[in-house]
Amino acid sequence: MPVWHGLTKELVERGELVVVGITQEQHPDRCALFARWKGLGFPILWDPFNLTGIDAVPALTAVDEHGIVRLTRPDPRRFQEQIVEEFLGGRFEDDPGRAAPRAFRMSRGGVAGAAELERLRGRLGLPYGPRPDDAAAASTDRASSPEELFRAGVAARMDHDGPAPRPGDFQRAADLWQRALAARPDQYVWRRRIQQWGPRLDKPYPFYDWVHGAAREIAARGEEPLALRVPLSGAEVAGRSRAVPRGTAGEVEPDPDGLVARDAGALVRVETAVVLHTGAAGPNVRAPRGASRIHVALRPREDAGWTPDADPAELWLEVPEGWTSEARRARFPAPDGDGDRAKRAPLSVDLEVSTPPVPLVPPVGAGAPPASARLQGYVLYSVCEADGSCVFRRQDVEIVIQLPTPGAAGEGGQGRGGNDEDR
Amino acid sequence: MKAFGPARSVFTLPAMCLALLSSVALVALGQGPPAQVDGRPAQAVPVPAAGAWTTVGERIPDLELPLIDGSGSFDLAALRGERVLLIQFASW
Repeated sequence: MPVWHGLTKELVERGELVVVGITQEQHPDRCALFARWKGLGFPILWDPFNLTGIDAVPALTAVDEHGIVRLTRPDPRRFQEQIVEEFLGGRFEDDPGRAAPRAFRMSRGGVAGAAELERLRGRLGLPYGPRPDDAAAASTDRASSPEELFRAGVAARMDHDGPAPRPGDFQRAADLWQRALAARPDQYVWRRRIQQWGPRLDKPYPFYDWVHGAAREIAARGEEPLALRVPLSGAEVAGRSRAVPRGTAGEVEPDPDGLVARDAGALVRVETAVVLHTGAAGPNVRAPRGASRIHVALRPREDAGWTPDADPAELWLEVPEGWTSEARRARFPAPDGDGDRAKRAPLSVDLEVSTPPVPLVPPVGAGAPPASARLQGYVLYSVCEADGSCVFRRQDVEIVIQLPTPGAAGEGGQGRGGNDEDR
Repeated sequence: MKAFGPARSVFTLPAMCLALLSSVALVALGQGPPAQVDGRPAQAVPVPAAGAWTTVGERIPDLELPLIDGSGSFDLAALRGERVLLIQFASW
């Protein structure tokens, strides 16, 4: 993008060319931060549902004054020839009889994407708007085509990031995206959406490792960096690596005898999600089998909140014999800032686990590999009620990883917090 | 931002043979390359683009989407009369 921005900047300033960006990301504010960092002055549209159906980015399209496409995927190395001489220097005639393909009319009187557009309008402001009419759940149930599955997953993840998330929204998103990708493995925009929260081995590159440096540079210029509405998870800044990094919280179990009182009052809701390697959506799942990123979030009840005076909340995870784990003990990072918002903000941590390598040739007499694995663990946290009284509590957690099997695109997994039944 | 997409395909011998056979078959069926006039195609042939939402020679679909800063929405139809470069990308 910066390459094209640099190439086109003068033409735009002279009024010879209009540049419009369209980003495919789940979170628009991250792209807005990028645009401020790089000084991108042109309008950028938000297409998280992939309404344009594009399967890889970046992709460029040159459109003439009649709205007719004249060039796709130009090469920046041939900018002078393709854009300046042929596109801007060309003479193009209109053909009034030529109509846009009906299936791609997405706004007025359109067919595809109208519901998604309405949802986008409702979600951009608050920060993603209230759940309008449970449309996300409805679209999840009705989704049948790969495109519908992907879009339903986007809606579920939006709900997870919105003001009224339900347990399982994130897991539902990951599962729907895996199902969509299984049907369209060449859809790299969809694949990247899973990899954003998936294991390191599956990542072509870190997704948002530029964010903190960009914020610092913007502040150094005397400008106000945009605050991200949804904090970055570890997966979103992690680089590709075969080696599972070791955690820093140590391996000593914090409550081996289960002495910490359980959170019987459900002051905190525990939510978990498992994001599998995208190879799980393909026919050959040997290599990534069980390479997963486990996400755990703690949400305080409406009348409860965190206290800055206590130690950080922690996760302890029992990992089966032979598995590799980034850590068994992990600390939840404190929310940014202070005040009421920080006190009630969800805490989240994510870490990576992988199964033992699967042999190329199963041992003679070996049965079918297990369809799932159950990981036990618990979270410990200090939480305060509205009257100011604070308590230290524990919730047991079970995380089920549905292990993919060849020929069947599996759903990632599910988790259960200790007080699920109270919800 | 980094480019991403499917890995560059590698032409294998069977794939090349298949492509050659396909070309021969198309010519045999009268569906070969378009006729040439003064060294140029007699008629523009629509070329599907990635994702097939835009096709060279076809009108750009109507598309209205929100702006990333939340300031409103933007309709590509408003750009009639301008020469436009659409850049689809992600910040990573």
